[in-house]
Amino acid sequence: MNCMDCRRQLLTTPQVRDAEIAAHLAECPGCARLAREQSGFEHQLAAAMRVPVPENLHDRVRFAASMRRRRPARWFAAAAAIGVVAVSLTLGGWEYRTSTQLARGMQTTPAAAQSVTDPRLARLEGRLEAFLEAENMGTIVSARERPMLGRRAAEFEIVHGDERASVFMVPDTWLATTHDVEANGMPGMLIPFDGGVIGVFCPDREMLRRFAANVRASMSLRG
Amino acid sequence: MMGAKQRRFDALIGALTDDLFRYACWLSGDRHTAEDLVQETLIRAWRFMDSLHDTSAVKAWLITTLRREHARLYERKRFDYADNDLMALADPNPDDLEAHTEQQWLRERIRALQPEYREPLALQVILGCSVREIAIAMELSENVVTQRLFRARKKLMQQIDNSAGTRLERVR
Repeated sequence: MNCMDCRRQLLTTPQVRDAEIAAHLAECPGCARLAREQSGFEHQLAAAMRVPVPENLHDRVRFAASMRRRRPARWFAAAAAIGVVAVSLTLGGWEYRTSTQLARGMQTTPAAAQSVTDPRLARLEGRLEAFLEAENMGTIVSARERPMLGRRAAEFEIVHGDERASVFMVPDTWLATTHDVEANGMPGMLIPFDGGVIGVFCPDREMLRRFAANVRASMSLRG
Repeated sequence: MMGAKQRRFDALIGALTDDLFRYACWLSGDRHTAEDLVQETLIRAWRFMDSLHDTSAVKAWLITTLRREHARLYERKRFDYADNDLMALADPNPDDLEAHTEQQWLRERIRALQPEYREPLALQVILGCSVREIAIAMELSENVVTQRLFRARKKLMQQIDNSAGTRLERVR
């Protein structure tokens, strides 16, 4: 090994001191001096390059990484948000349209005295009767079947003292929440129940509220 | 409770995190960017943990991934190396002020090196990479890596000599 090779190796891979280089350093004072200087320089270089590391770096980075792993991708979150808004708007529009059509269909003309023959509507009539009796809210004085939103529905006229109310039962219709509506200037409410929607119209708002508050639990098309 | 994957992850990568951060600092010139780079690299490492069987290959894999992340980041944001506060890389509580000042001075010189000289030096000094490992990571020939390491050291040592000469002149 000559001096040039030795110096080149010292400046390239100073950590490698093989037998060949050791032999050259032993016999060449110039290269040996350079090797000593080189050794000091390597210490300085290592110290300068060892920049301080933030405390608990591994834990902090690992924690941040684990949060990122659990967090859905941004595009997925954005798509999900758009999806939720789109579904909400669609459902909201559908809800508004259904409640408006129902209220329009429930024009409060007195029900002609007929009998309800549809078995499901007859079952609902029985439950309504039991509910009115339990709540002491009057009795059914007339009933009839009438189409509503393309479905077989029932209309009942109820008398409670001097008050009269109209109740509509529309099976197989879905509303998410209770709606305050009006038909022929009379206040009413549309109340979703398990299997359809009940519409009740009554000039007495107190009676309307009482009816709306309790009827839902008594009505069901199941069982 | 710590899972088996987490334990394996800590065992394989935990010891390398600090040095990976230091390397990222010299690569990007910014501590916050370095931390982001390490984080992105570790997230990828976690994802590919099951395929990282060879312990010796983990370091090379991490370096390659971090370099790619840095290149990706660099496409979006151009770092101005000269504008970064040098003190951001400094030890906040140096015990020995003189040694600290010298260290700062040398850091400045290292930072002033061209990136193609600074990076192989960082890989060698911080991560203990061999010439061959650096060549693979930087996609260069071993000869080129050897040449760059040689020139980087020579340049720094010359600057130290010049500086020592200037200081001697001042004393005289």
